[in-house]
Amino acid sequence: MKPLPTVQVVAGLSSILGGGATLAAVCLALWLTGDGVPRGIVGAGVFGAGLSVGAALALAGRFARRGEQRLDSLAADIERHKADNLELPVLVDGSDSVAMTRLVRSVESLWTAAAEQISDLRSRGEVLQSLLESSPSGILVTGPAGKIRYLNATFEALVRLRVDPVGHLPIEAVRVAEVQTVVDRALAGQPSTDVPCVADPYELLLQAAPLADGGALVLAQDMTRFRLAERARTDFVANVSHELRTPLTAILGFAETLVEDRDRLPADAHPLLDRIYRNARRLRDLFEDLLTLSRIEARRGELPIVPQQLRPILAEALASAADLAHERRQSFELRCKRSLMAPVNPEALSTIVSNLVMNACHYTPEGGAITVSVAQMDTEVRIDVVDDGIGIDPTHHQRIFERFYRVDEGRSRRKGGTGLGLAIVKHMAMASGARITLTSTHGMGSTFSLHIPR
Amino acid sequence: MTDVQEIAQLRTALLQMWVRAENMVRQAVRSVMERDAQMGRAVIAMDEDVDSMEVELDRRCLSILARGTHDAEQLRFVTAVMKMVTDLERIGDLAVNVSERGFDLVIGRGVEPSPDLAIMGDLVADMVRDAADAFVARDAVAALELRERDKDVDAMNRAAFAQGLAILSAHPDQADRALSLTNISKHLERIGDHAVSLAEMVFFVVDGTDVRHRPSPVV
Repeated sequence: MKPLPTVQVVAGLSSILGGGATLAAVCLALWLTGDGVPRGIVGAGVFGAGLSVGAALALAGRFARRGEQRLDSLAADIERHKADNLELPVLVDGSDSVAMTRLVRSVESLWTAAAEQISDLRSRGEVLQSLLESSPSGILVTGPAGKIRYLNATFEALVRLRVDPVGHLPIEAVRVAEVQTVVDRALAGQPSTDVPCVADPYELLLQAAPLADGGALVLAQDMTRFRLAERARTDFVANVSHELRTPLTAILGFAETLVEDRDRLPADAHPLLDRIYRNARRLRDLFEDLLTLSRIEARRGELPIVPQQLRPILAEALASAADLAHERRQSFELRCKRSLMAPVNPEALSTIVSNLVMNACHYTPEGGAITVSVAQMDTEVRIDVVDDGIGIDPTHHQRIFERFYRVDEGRSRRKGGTGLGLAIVKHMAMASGARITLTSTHGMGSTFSLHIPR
Repeated sequence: MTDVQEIAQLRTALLQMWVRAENMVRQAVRSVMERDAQMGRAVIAMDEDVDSMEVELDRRCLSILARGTHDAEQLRFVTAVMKMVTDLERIGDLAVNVSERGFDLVIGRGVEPSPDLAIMGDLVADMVRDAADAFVARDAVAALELRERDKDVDAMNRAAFAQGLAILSAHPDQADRALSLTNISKHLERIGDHAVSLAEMVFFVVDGTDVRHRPSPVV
């Protein structure tokens, strides 16, 4: 049923109210002037006043109820549309009062603004979600209590999930101990970088950081292919070096024979023969070094380590460079107590020290001094190879142990090095559980230190 | 820290140890199958972690017990953890044994590990993992199912032993390799036993009944 228009209702009621009020006013006037009021009129006056009050109350109640109903229906409309979608619902009603219409318009404009913002946020969320899902890194996010909130498809592919991850601790769902460890650290405010771990059959590298809300973020990179490629590279280099060495041995052998019989060759062939012989020897050294490196890499951490007297090993290593030092009029000094023992692999230590000493001879001017000294500390034994040569600028320290890295290309070639000496030193040190460091300033000599844990 | 917080941390640390032990088993078997000495050495290196976790978890359990503020359920949990860490530590040791016997096979040629060994390795590693699943899900029924699976592992071990004997008599020159392979099988069979022992402790934690050396109750 269509409700009566408000204007008609108001007009009708005011006429009833107005009539009753007039009758009551006449009775009151007659009584005040003392003229006496006829009984019938008094009755009519009382009735009129009662009618007016009653009608006023009824009208107010009806308005209040109607306003309440309208607000209820408005709320229901909003609720219904909120669940469906963000489209603006038809809220306005032709029978609304001015104030109600204004309220409805305000709600509509609020609705439109909110809908725009929500849709904007949704599309941003979708973009972010697809970015996270398509990321080549595994991503895991936990809340402040350490329970997983989000885990992307990449992470899921890298680990064997045992339960629906959301709401579980990482260790319950992901079963990689290191993931739980880095999450625990991040929850305590500590980031983690490059933590290697195995999620059989994958090899992962983890990074983790605390989040602003107190949770943790973990990134996992799949290193499996990288490691396989690394292994393939090592195998390839070893095989190629081995295969090339055989024909090279023939070249070197025949060149040697010719050098011995050089007098039988025409004089203009001599410099050519020298170059063939020199370069063939360089190639042989290079292949030997490459093979040595491949062998160390393949056997990483396998070198047997036993307590040894250091002095005889170091003396032998120094002796291997004695000819070169003599040629360059350089002096050697070995500072090591006879009784000093340390857990080392003798072959590795000898290779490391002789490589370092040879290097020192090459890069120390004629007449310079090279010292090998051993210091015994609480946690390690340190062997220093010290020279007073040209030194190495700190900008090169980071890369000097890389294969084929040269501080001065031209000079290194003239010295006839293979560019692999320090790489061999580094890998030998790692394979025998030690580490190598360098202290040097350009023009002030160098100190290579081998740190052997006790 | 309250008992509840400390027990929650104990549970997480136990799972970390559990995962490591499972990983050691999988990698040990892989190092044998792929003759990968480097992976074998990685397993040996992991054992140190598992050993120190055992000591650390025992220490935490004792500290909870010493406070004496725990309730009956917490007491059951803590005592079960103290037994479970021993099983996990033994699993780690056995994985190391498997890797070490694998080194014997890296050098030279001859009898090679059979595919059955890889299947057996997967079976026992899965048992260790599934015991952890039952622990996480507090699933007493799933825990006891491991007892049945252990019978398959025992049967495979008997078959591997018979095969080893056959190789010994047919190729005495391969005795070293044949013995290494039967030893690996024996170590895997023991890992299966420890997985069952873990599962029985899970049952104890969830149900409160000690089922060791008894037939499985109807749950």
